Amino acid sequence: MKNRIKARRYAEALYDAAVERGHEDLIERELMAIRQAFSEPSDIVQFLQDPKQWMHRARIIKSTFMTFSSEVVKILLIMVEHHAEVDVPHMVDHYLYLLNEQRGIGVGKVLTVKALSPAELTEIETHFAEKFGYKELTLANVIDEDVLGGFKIVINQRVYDASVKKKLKTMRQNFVPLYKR
Amino acid sequence: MEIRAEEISALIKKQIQYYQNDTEVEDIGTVIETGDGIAQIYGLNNVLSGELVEFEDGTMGLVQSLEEDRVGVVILGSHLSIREGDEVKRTGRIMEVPVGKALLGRVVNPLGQPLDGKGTIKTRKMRPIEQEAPGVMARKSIHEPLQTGLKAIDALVPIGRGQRELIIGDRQTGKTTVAVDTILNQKDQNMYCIYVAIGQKDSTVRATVETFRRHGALDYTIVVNAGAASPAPLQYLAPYAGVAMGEEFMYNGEHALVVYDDLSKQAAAYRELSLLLKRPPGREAFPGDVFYLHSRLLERAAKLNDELGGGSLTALPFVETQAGDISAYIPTNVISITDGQIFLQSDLFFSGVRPAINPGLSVSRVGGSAQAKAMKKVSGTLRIDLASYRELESFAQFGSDLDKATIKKLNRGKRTIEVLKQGLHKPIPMEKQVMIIYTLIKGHLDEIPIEDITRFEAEFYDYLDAAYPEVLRDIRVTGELNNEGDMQEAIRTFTTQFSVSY
Repeated sequence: MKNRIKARRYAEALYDAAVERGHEDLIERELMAIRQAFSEPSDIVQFLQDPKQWMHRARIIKSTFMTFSSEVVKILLIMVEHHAEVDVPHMVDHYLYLLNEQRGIGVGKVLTVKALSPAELTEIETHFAEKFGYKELTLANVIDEDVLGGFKIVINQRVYDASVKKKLKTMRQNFVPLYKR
Repeated sequence: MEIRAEEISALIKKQIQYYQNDTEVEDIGTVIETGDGIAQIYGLNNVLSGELVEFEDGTMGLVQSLEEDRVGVVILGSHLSIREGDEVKRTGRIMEVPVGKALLGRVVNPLGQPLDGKGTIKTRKMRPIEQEAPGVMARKSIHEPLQTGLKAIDALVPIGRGQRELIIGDRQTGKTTVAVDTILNQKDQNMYCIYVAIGQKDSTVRATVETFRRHGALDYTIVVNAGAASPAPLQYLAPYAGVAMGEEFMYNGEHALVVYDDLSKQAAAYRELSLLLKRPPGREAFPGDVFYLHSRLLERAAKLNDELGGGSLTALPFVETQAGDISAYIPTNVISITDGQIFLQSDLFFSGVRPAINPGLSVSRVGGSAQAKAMKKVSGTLRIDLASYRELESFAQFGSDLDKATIKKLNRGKRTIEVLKQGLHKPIPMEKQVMIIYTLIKGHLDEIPIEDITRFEAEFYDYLDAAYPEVLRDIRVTGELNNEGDMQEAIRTFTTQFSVSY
């Protein structure tokens, strides 16, 4: 949480650079792989943080990510130089967020008690896209028994709560005045 | 029990009217840090400063600081049930308090919730606690007096309706007493009073409320209490809640008096809050906007013009000084904001001058134009008399050889001080104040021994009530000294029959 602003700065810079050259989609695919590599537990992060390997860091990165586009390799080099290797997954997340905002895609989750069928999920996605102000939605189905029934969609700190839990809570609030809660 | 069909349909009709099931997309955030009455929240992307947010358990919070990826929220209520990871919702509302006449006689907290156990407050009217002060054109010059019932204030530092008069002094100098006496004197004066107690012991507030009740002042008074045990955000909000309740009266063309007891504690609460919100500290560790904190509060005191109903809101802020130091940060700030100050001094208090008002340092910048003509006439020379007495007093201590004129001045000064003394919770109506000061300045008290002055005053009032009610009525109704002959006669007849004690 603490370094999220730092990670955002890298993501914004990378995104701007990618847009200028017009290959943000290619970088997106590459970043997915990089996130995989840098997500914990990660051998590469451990290696990069090892003081004994200090001199070899740049060389290792260059050789490991040889096939990747130059912007991606360069941002990794810069981040490693700044000791920000642990922020790489956050950077990737924010890059994807920026890209999806640009494309009008909302990425989030839908909380239900039982797993939704693919048809139901698609229906929710198409139905709520406009309500959230996006062209389309990509929702991950999360099982959460706390919602009791119905569903709850969370996209980028915005929520559409149609769960039974919420209804019960509203009902309770209407019965009990604020200062007695 | 029988239920008729039309009743059912009426019920359903009502339900149709108020039925709502349209779930909306809401902005949410996540608590990432909480403690000391403050929560840091991630998310809440579009939240506005000053907006109310709701925590999972229904506790409300007030958005105070907006940063790039987080917002700082002060928790209004218990912070014990708020945990890391809790969901926080925007409400889209700003903070409001209930207002109106239903609050009179009640003791409430800064959120407008009752503390006195007399049940719910039956009012639907709400007012935002932060509101813009009336502008230049909405105002009018102050011209009506606010009678405090204290001779020393009404004569030397008169207060007008719509004025902001600071009451400043050390602890234990009778600041609260001045306010309580002023509120007690507002009976039948067409004035609503709001007493805002900030950071005081609940037992003290209870005693004050009891005083109000005993003197029948609770019928026109609202008490807003944020006690010493209440969290800093509530202490910080209490004056704003009080002024919002007062504004309701003012904008309805009525007169309101708001007493803030005291603003130094509010500033301390705000300092605590600001430091926890990681705002940079300035002088005496107060945040940079502590001046604005008080100026926007006191600016809401006003006398409205006639198109707006001519209502008024008078503010009596209190500031506690440390060892008489009025050049500390908060005292200088509030002195510069207000239209004058009443300075209470502890050495005067302990030498028996009560109320312990220092006439040299106390001023009222606008009250003079609100003073009744009669009072203005009799009290005109009082301040100079007192000043020259103080000057001579220190000289007279060295030698005993004094000329007649000096002795006369000293005598007059001693009696002036004696006349300005006043008992606890004994407000005196304006006409009686005029009479006693008139007696003093015309020299009728010069022959009375100093020990007898208090007794003389008390008996004089009774005598006037009994023998010369028309003189009093004349002053009260016209506010002028029309009939000095009668006044002289009343004084003469009383002094001749007054027996001096031996």
